[in-house]
Amino acid sequence: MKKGLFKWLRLSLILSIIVSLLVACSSGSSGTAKDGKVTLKVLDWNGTNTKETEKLIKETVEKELPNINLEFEYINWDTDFSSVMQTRIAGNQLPDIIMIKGGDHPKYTEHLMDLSSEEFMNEFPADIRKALQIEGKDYAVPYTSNFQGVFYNKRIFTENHIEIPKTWDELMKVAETLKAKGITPFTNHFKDYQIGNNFNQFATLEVFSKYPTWGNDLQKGKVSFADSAEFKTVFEHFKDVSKYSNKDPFGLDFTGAAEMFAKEETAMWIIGTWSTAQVLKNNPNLEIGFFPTPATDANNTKIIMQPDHTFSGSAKTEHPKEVKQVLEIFATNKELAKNYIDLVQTESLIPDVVSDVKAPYVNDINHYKNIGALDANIGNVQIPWPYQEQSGSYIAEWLLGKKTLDKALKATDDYKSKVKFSTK
Amino acid sequence: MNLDGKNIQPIDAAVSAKPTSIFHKKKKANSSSMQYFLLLLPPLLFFTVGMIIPLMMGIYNSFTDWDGISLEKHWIGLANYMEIFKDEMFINSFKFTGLFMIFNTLIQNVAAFVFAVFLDSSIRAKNFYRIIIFAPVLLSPILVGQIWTKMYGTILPSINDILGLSINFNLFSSPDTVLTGLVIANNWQWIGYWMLIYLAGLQAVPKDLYEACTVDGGNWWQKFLHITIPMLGPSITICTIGIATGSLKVYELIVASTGGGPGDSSKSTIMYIYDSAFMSQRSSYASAMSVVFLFVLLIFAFIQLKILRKREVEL
Repeated sequence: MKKGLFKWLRLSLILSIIVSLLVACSSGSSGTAKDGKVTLKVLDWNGTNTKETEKLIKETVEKELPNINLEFEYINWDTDFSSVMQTRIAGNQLPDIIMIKGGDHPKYTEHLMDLSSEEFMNEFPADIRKALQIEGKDYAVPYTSNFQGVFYNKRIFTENHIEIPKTWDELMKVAETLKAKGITPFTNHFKDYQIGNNFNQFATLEVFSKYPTWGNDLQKGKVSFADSAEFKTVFEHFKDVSKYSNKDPFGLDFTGAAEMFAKEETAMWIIGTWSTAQVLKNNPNLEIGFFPTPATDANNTKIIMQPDHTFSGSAKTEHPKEVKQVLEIFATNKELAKNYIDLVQTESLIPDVVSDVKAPYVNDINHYKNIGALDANIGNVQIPWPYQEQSGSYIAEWLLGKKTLDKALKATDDYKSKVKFSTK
Repeated sequence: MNLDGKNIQPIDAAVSAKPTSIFHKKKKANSSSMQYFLLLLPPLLFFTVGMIIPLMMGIYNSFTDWDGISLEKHWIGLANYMEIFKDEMFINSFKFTGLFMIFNTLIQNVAAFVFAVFLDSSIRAKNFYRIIIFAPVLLSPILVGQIWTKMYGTILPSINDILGLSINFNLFSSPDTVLTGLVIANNWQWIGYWMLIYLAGLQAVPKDLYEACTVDGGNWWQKFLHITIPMLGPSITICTIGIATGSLKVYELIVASTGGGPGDSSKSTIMYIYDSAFMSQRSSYASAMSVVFLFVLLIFAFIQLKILRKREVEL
């Protein structure tokens, strides 16, 4: 009797272990709590003042939609976004709301909510909507934009009586002048993504502004990097910049670069507005100026703008109504939008929302907007980011003497078959 | 030997003599097997769900054109496999990984062995040295990558500034030195771990063998050559296979230190597979490369095991 009882006890213990393991493995997805409150998961890659932006968004949503609770998950866009999205899609666990970088949408349209018929999308001017539309449909609420160009040390420029360059040749003359005075002209962090980013900046100015369908023609085999005089110029720009670079650019990453620029060890940095928060963290008193990256032809020298933070809904969310309500807040709540851009130190894509940030570079950006802006996504959509990064690797090999320029261009052409283009 | 059956009971007779006892034994055995099966069920379930099914799905995907995101996939046969052997980036990544493995296997084995021999002797403060050498094993490879990035990028170059020298310490900045830099970082982390395996092996060598050798007039070198090394045969097998397969799978250290650069000079095979799957969105091609790499690892481990086991027997 006692033996039998012990046997059953053992069996039930084993079964309870199995059941508890299975229960532990079940996913804790978004859902409705007993009190009727809906929890929506948000995938966010913003890396600037995240605690503050999360608090701001949560409080605003809670005020307007008390039945909705937001749960944030943060990832690094550069290193993790693609893999996280891919695994979540494969696992059918896409978060309800996803922050997507402008230009990344075409990859994910099958899995995103179509927002074209939503009333709140009419808040945005047609050109902003068009920049993010895929086959005429809206899949994202545009939210912020970044600007890319040359950030410079105002003190160094003023003390050395340096004029703002308008062409690439003038930029090189400025670099030569600075070098002659013992000042390192450029901050270069070729260890991480800078070559990829600068590749897109130079290509947007030198190639895509003249041939807006160059990327599509590349896919069709009508053009190639090796045969393009303009792309040869793009590659040569890196050689020029390297001549006037800080020591050991291949050993320096973004954080180190921001520290170097903040300590006034260099005079210029070709990058985007996302870098300013990190620079000012290191030196809040630094006077950062901004001018558009000069093109070979002064007529093509324009400020490069890119839709940055955008919000999309998952097509398979269990709470489509609530997701749309939250997206509507993003699209219509101007106070939230203003506070958000002040925290992230960027610019809003919502009409009439202007940042309170009074830094000199913001004034410069506003000034240069008048000469015309180029959308960075012209390049991003046609030459997907992984392709740009890989081209950066070939440029690095050329700069380090491991490839000739022709071989680097040819390798870039050959990589075409190894990457999926974003455009459908 | 007399086997006339005097003391041997026929099986049938034994069964018919005690049928109830056999039945009870069988029942007990069945019940016991059931319990073992139930106990094995959770790991079996996890192994099937976590290993077998994904492996099968991966193999299936390698014959398709799936990008990892799209809802559609098409059967393309062996096209992905054909491409692998023409892919210069795969071949280069494989060469880099192979060199990384060879240097690590040689250096770590020799260094771990030497440290173990010294720290098994009667030198002073040996426990302190053991802790110092073992400590990096406890760190994550990500942290090791960051430590050595800082070491090569900031700490060691400051020696140049202090002493007015111009030694190139930043081994991660050039395609010519990046392999050396990574091998140093990897060895720094793992020598202590393999040293422990050799230490355990050394402590298991019977002392009377050394005494017998001393009686026969053997010197230190002869003892080392004819007793220590042969007796450590199983440890050498474990360490060689462990270091080699670990080096072939290197990923975190590279991600945290060089990111595969400069250019593609330190891109390991696993890293290239990851980039193809998640950055270039060529999931099916990455699956095909994974299958090829799995076979390479299996063949490699099998050959090593065969050679080393044979050597153990010979020793």
